[in-house]
Amino acid sequence: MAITNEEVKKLASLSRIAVSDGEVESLRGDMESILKYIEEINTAPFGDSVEDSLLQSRKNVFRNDEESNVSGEYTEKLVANMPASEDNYLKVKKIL
Amino acid sequence: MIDLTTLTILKAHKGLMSGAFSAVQLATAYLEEVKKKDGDINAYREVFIDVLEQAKHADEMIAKKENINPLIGIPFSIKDNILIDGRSAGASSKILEGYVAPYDATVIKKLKEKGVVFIGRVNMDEFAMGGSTENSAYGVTKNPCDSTTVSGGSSGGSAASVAMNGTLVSLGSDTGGSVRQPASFCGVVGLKPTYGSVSRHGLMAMGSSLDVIGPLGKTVEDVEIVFDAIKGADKYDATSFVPVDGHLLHMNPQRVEDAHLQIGVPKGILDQGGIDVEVKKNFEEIIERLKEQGHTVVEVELPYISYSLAAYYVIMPAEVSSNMARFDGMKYGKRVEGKTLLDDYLLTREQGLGKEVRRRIMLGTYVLSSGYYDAYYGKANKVRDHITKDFKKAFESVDVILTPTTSSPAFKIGEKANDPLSMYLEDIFTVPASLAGIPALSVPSGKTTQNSTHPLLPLGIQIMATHHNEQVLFTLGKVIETIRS
Repeated sequence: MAITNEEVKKLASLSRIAVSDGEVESLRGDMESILKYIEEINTAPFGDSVEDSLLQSRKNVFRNDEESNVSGEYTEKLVANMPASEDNYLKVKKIL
Repeated sequence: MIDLTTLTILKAHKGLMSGAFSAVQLATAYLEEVKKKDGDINAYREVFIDVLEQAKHADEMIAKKENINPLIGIPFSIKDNILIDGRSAGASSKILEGYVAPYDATVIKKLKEKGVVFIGRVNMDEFAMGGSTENSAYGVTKNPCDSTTVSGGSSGGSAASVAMNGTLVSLGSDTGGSVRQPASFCGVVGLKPTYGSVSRHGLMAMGSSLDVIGPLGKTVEDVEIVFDAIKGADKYDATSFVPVDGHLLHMNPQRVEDAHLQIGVPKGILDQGGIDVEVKKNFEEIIERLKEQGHTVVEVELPYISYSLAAYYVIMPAEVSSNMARFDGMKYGKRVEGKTLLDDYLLTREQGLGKEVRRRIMLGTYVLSSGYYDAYYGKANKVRDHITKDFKKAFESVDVILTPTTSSPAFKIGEKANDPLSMYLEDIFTVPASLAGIPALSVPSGKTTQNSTHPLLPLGIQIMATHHNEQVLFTLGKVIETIRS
């Protein structure tokens, strides 16, 4: 699977990662060789029954929607970890 | 003087109980080894400042005969992606600089209740992505058996800290081989438990359908004792569970002692390209010895196993790209300021995350994008189902399946650093068990025989069993230990 520098830039933007022009080419080369390798799965032979088996072996597991800890129990520690905060609120740049 | 080289949990426990040495003396002995060796090896990211206080607390428990158990006063190292309340945790990434864990991982809570002593947190590939610790933002962890080679990864710090006598046991995490491969490279024992048997609460997520915390130690018995202490269902991890009756053993471990074990070897496994001649020879020798002991060895067919690695490198990056979205410089760790909020995200992730992590996030974004979702992610999941079925079928006729843990002994530092694909191929033997969620144990099986300029390197054998059948891994692992000695 050939991948272009433009696609690499697009993926980086979707991934919310800045990439320098200098790095685009090396990332493109790496991704191309990895994608070429994982293409192998398309040669795996599948019968008709496979569709049915899919999702049987794995399913999402959800916990019950109940409070798992006391409200405010971790507030101090979590706020202390924030790069910027004000009065127990996370501080970010203005969006609008 | 405590002989750390041959020390095991039960021997240490006996020493502590008889008063031959105290927990403080034991911890001091390990700290001295760390001081002597870690400048070169670089296994530890941090040695905790309160090690002796923790040990003193264990001594007090012993004096009061309070909560006496085999793990009381036993030194542990902990992989840098497992949270200990109030201590730094960084997954060896710059993006988590300054982060202090706000709570204990469930495994840590369990170990604290046992009265263990945490020596420190150990190095790893950044966010557990890699097979050599070369992806750590804090330098490679060298292999104590030969410091020109890597310790393996991603739990390289865990394996090296045990191998260099820098701790008695360690906790690592395994997503596609990250406990087993470094264990094999450093000549120690490493267990990847059944998926869901150990709580992941407080483990930084990499591939959530694959991740599992596992112990490393010098002997199978040590690994077994630690596994028994950390396993169990947890309300904070909805995928953790205790097997219901009947889901357990389909065979009796007594059969191992009676030497009537049915051992499977995947057909064609030793004919795969790239397998080292020494690895092949060592594996064949162990198989022969097991036969001599009366075990039956048969070939098993796992038709889809050859697609394991390709499927893994679709599923894992897909999960990585989702899990890594939380590291944006807002809530914790490092924030690189830009002109706008979006710039903050872009720059923080560019500068805070290493190249391999960024590559996997982008790869995951690619395979999950709308045009390619079915071709990659959908197909990979089908392959995964088939591999699980293949194992299920094989385990109808055999009790365990054996392979080498890795296709070669520890490689040179820098040898694969610029070739991500050749690094990925390191996981060839370990990934199938991860995809199927079955338990697998790596046990030292000997050493290379030829290495003219450097020390001989350890080799490992991997034993796999059905879900929740760790017991048979331990029993056969102990048999292999006696063969080796």
